[in-house]
Amino acid sequence: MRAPQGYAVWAGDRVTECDTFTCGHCQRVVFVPPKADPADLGGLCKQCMSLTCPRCTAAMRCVPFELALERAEASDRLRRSVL
Amino acid sequence: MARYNVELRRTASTTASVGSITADATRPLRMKLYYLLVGSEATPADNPFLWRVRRCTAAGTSTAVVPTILDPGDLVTEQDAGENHTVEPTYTSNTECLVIPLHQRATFQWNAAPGREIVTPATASNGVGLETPVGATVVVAASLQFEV
Repeated sequence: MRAPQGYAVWAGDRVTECDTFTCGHCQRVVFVPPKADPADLGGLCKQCMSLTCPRCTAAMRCVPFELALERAEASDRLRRSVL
Repeated sequence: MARYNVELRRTASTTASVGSITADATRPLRMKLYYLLVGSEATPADNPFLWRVRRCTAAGTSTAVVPTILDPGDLVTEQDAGENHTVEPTYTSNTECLVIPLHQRATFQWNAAPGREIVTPATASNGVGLETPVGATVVVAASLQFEV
């Protein structure tokens, strides 16, 4: 994979290695075996230009994870200020 | 950013988590999980395991584990880590970050590239939990490294 975003190693009877990428929307780690069909791995979100997992690709919504983080933290700060 | 290592260990259970790392309830910080190592130290046997890292919003009840500082110049972290849960963390549905099928005799490692870590929000008690929804009742261990 060009510019992998992670690396996974299984070490048992034999060693298996593969690249990974992290979904830009939900942060799921997707394993990319060598010679994998790109259609099976998810897609590329054309709004935030990040690789996405199959579930987020099928959802067809762009909510970058950084935005989700900011929303969760803002909600927590609001609840804390009320309490 | 400071980096830490947490070692989690328990007798695997399909209904109880191996461990969790969550933000402090009063001083939450964003955490970036960048390394994971899982395996079993038990007598080798042919058992399938499924490891799962999932987001949680509460830590549940567990045995406290103090994260190890990787750089002695850094301060002790405020993140809360625990192993051997008796009360499960409050998991959020459909938030599996990492799902690993693994044979008991094998080990698995995952390294994230900089900028592609699993990030948890700076929200009280939010974090990730490590589960074995499929597995045998043998001792399993995991090592997680994160930066705050």
